[in-house]
Formats: sequence, structure tokens, C-alpha cells
Amino acid sequence: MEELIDLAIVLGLVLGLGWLADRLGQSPIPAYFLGGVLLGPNGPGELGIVEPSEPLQLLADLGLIFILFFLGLEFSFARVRAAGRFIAVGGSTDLILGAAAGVIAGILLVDDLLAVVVIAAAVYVSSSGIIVKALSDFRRLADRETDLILAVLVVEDVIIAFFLAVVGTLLLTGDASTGETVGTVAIALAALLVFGLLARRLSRLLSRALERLEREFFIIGTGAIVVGIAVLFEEIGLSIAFGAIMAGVLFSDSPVRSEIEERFFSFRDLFGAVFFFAFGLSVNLAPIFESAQIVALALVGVALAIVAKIAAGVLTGRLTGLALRRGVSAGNSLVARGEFSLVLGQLALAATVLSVADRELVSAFIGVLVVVTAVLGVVTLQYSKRIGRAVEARFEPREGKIET
Amino acid sequence: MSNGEVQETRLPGVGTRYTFELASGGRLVAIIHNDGRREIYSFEDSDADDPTSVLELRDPEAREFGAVVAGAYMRPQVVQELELTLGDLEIDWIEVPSTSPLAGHSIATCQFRRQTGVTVIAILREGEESIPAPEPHETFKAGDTLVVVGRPADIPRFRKHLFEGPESEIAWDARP
Repeated sequence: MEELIDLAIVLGLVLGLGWLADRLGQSPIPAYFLGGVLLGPNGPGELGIVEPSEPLQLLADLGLIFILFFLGLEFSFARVRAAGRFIAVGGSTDLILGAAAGVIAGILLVDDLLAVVVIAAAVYVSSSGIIVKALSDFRRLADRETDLILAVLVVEDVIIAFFLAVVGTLLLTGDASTGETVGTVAIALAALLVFGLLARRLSRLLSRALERLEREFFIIGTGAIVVGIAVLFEEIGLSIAFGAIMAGVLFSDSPVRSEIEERFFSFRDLFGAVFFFAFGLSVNLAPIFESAQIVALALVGVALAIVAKIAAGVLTGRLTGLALRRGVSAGNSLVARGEFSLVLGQLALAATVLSVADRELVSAFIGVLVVVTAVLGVVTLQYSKRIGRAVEARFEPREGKIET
Repeated sequence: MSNGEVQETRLPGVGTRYTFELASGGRLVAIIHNDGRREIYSFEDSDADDPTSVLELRDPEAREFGAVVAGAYMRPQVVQELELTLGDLEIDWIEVPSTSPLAGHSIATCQFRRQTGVTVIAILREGEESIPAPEPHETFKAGDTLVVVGRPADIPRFRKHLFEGPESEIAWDARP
């Protein structure tokens, strides 16, 4: 009973936070997380309204599974190709600049290589959830640079799916011994290969079975497959994250994909909100504020993360012949980090391979990164066209040149 | 760019965008979201940064609106009612072309009913009073619109009769 009361309180808090963020024109994702930080045992003044608990963690795990399952559902090379002319240039420019900024931020803060890689990935990946919704809300879907923004997000999602599957598994399994790492990577690659070979047949089989089921059994059947594959992957020495993504990939090109999306959006949103909140509860931001030096380094890291995105937009715009203002606008629209960075932060916090100090520092930095860039990113996206026009007027006063 | 070409672009994670370059120099953009919502953006000129207006429609609204815009939806109320009472007959409005060999003759002379099975039920004349239920001796002239009723298959025969002259010989009366 007590657990249910706690759960009711959490859902009430999450609802309030999400609603408040929405009213302020912000995304609810950083609000759920920040709410967890402030109201949890590590919050300022030790409010401790909500304690992490096992039932809450179970729901949060389901949230993680469904967030990653949906990431897998979006995973499709056909869709990448269909995203148009910006894919190659936009995707690679963004990867190089974003990862470089992330590696520098990582080196500034931690020594461990794996910890640096996790920070790099969290800095690299923009939030497709926050950005796509904001583009739609601010009526930006008809703009030319929107194609560039969406293409970059598509590439990022594919890369981060790979990354979460492999590095996420490294983080969550075993100790840091080389032998074990090699073993884990070998199992991961073997699993990918087997899955790749069987995927089409398995997908057809499962889709056909699901299609025959009535609505309620369709939901139960899909849920069983998703959770089942996630757990199966953990059992063979990989991770739940890997399994959840693969379950999504399995259905990404199947005829039941849109029905699964339709029926499971609500699951993802409900459990996902709990996941962000629960991660906030377990994170301790104190390590960042331990010394003025770390605060300064973390701020440099966040600043680099923002500059890298804007630079990627401008550079891609240059290379693909977009007007300067559109490149600037695209870059400013890509600033927000969100769900996948938080997933990385949670994986880092639970990573047995990392030292306790690194775990805390990495997850705290990612927390700060997401809160700052998500809040700022929605604002820069809202005003990105104005910023773009101002920059163009400053650096490229019109000389009657051809507009593109 | 102003020949009404439509450009289709996929918006991954959102839906599909259709861009129409208008003859007026403007640009219309329709976005069909994956969840069925439609958005229509209009830009005053092709390079404008901000839309002058944005329209958001739900799926059923968009379908009805689209049919109206396509001209496939609205029909005059009167035609709908007539259709109910006419059963398998059809009613049609046919303008008499200036080239019609029958222009200037009476309905009886033209033998519409005998040769085509179609009856003239009214003569509409611009600028003058129309003639409902015309007598057989009533004449019509080029530019008039004949309201006719008959079987759907017979209407094309009536048109041919009116436009090109009768198939079999008729007794021409003197021109007025």
C-alpha cells in the first residue's frame, strides 16, 4: 500500500512539473529530471519528499526499455536515405564537431577513457524528442533549414542506437579487466550478427502473429516480446538497453510498426516520465559544485556543447549552399539535449566498470548539461530565425545576391 | 517555378511536406503529420522567411476541406433535391451554341422528343425572363440555355442533335 501511495505522489508531482514546464513554453523532459533532483534525497535543503524505491525503479526500468524500444523502432536505413540531401554532410559535420566538443568536455572532467566516451556521446546527441516537438509548436516545419535539422537528428538517432547498444553494454557488465571487455564486445558483435541474420524472418513471423491477435492481446503480446527480448539480452551477458533497442529494430520495417507506435506511445510517455524523475532522484549534483574549478570546467563543457551545435549548423549550411541565416538558425535549433543524454547519464551512474567518483561526476555533469541545454535550446530554437537574420545582417549585408 | 509544380519532401519523425510554388509568386506548404494532423503554411513570396498564415486541420476536416478545394464536393442544393425526385432520369443545362443549325427554330420543329427522347423543360435567356414549361411552338436562339430532362444515355444524343443538326430529315419552318 505504502508503495502505491508513493507512486501516486510521484505521478502527481510529475504531472505538476510537466504541466508547469509546458506553461512556461518548455519541454517537460528536463522538468521531470530537475524535479527528481530537487525533491529527492540529494536535493538542496534535503527536502527528501520522495525516496527512491524498488517499485519506482521497476517502473523507471520499464521507461528505459520503452524509450529505447522507440529509438529502435525509428532505426531504419531506408528512412535515413529518404531524409534527403543533408544526410551525409549534415550528419558527419555534426558528428565530428559534436563528438570533438564532447571529448574535450570529457577530458576536462574525468581521466577514465570510458567515462570520457560516455560524456562525449551525451554531448553529441541532441534531443529529437524536444526539438521535433518545438519545431512543430513554433510552426517551423515549412522552413528550408528544417530539412537539415531533421536529417541531423535522424543520423544522430541511428548512431546513438548503435552506441547505446554496445557501450551501454560495456558499462553495465563486469569489471574493467581487458579479458572481460573483449568477451563482452565479442558477445555483443555475435548477438548483432545473429540478430541481423534472423531479423527479417523473425520480424515477419512475429508481425504475422501479432496481426492476428485482437487488440488487447496485441498489446500484451508486444509487451511480452519487448520486455522478453530486453531481459534475454541481459541474460546472455549483454544489457537491457541493447535488447530493448533490438526489439525496436525488429519491428522498424514491419507492417505492425505504426500500430505498435500508436498503442505504446502512452506507455513510453508514462514510464518515461517516471524514468527521468527517478534518475533525478538518484543523481547527486554535489560533485559538480565541490570546487570552483569543477564548476568552471563543467560550464566550459556545456558552452562547448552549445557552440558545437551552432557551428555544425553554420558549417553544414555553408557546405550545402544554404543562406547564412538558415545555417545559423539550424544550429541554434539543435542545441537541446534530452532523453538519450539522460539515458547515458543513468547508465553511467549504474556502471560497475567506472569508479564511484567518476560515476557521480559523469551523471551529475550530464544532468547539468541536459537541464541547461534543454531550457536554453527551446529558447534559441524559438528565436533562431531572428538570430540567423541578425547574424546575416552583421556579417553578410545584402548585395542583391541570389537567395537560397 | 510558377507552373503549379508540387515538391514532396519527407520529414523524418514528423510526416510529409508538399510545397506548391504559386503563379502569384507565393508558396503554399502542406504538411501531413504522421498522426493525421494537417498544417497549411502560406508564404507571400517564395523566399519569405515567415509564413503569413498557418492553418491547422484534423484529419476529417482536412479531407472535407480538400474535397471542397478540389471542386469535388459541393453541388448546388437544387441539383441534389432534383436527383432525389428524378430517379433514373438526368437533368442537364445545355447552352445553345451559335453554330447550332437549330437555333431560331421552335421546339416542335426540332423534334427533340421524337428523335432523342429528351424533353426541354425550360428555356433560360440571359437578361430576359426565362420560359418555364415552354409550349412546342416556343422558339429558342443561340446563347439560350435549355434545361432538359431525359435518360442519361439520351443526353449525349440530344447534344449532338442540337450542336450538329438532326440525324433524320425534319420539316424546317420559316425563320422568324
